[in-house]
Amino acid sequence: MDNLTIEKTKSTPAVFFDAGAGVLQMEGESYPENVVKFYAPLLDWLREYLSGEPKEVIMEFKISYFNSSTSKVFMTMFDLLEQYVEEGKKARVRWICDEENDVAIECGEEFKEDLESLSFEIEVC
Amino acid sequence: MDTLYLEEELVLNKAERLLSEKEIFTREEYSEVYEEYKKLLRQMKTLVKVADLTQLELKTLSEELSKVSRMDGLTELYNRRYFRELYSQEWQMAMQENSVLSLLMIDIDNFKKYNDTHGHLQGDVCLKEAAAVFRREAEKAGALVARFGGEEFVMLLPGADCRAAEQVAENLNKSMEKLNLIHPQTAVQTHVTISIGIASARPEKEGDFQLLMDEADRALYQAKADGRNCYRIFQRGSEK
Repeated sequence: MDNLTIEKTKSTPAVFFDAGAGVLQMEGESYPENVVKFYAPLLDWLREYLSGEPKEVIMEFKISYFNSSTSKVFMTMFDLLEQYVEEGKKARVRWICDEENDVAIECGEEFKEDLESLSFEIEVC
Repeated sequence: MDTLYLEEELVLNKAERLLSEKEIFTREEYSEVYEEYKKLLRQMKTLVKVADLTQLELKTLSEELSKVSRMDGLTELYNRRYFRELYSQEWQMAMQENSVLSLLMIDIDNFKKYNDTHGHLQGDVCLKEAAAVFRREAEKAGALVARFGGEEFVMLLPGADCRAAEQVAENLNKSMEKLNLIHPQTAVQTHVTISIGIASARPEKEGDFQLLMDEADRALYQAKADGRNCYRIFQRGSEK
């Protein structure tokens, strides 16, 4: 499966989904004018990837700001990963925040609270 | 993905199909829809919490920005732009209430020499300490004070006539003496002093608030011409 790479813009994060390594990274801010249009390829890619050969998946989020629609997409991603784990496969999320970004840290805590099987690590740096 | 809420729509479709096709559901059928709905409702609750966190942060930042845009960064007094806004409002109010107001234009004497002697950092300290004196006196008098630029400050006294303004000016001169910021280069005193121009009016026309500022400014120049460390009152036709 091909990697998925998207350049960062002012309102959308840089995306690098490395199919070989199983590391899916997003970094920047997320408040696209059309959230569905931006995230549809990412979700399609993720669904296809998770239905392929089982391997450990690590999703890294370094998102300093995101709007409400983006948070819905993130929760859809977490849900897909949680299902993957419940099928007996390995996946975890790394939620990486700047120590001064209290909102990002608290949002990570909210996301984490909803998850049962998926490991969600909040890393403050 | 045509919509963000694809899963919610699928759950609704499933429920609608069950309702239209069957009168009695099995436990499994009911349980499946119920669990999916429960998961999505939990997501929605998190979404609202996350949105609230972001909104709160934006509100806090917006309030901070609004405060910063009104203040002079060094002295933390109001800045010139915000002062003009407040002054215009007070002028309108005085017109409606047929009351008086007074303006004090305040200038630190020989400030350039102070800077040249002690350096700009100490100059900033001098401005901050003088500003703290002005703030205290303004609070006592129920006045508004702002940094007008450089070493010039302005104080607005709503409801104060010329006599009341004169009293505030006297207090300001005395407080600067007590502050006793050493200024060996000044020809006036051994400490930092201020000159003050006073103008008072009973506002009648909207646009005249600039005129009162000009009058207070002229009185200030007179105070400087008369040797500094004093106040002068603008009187139409002559200046005291």
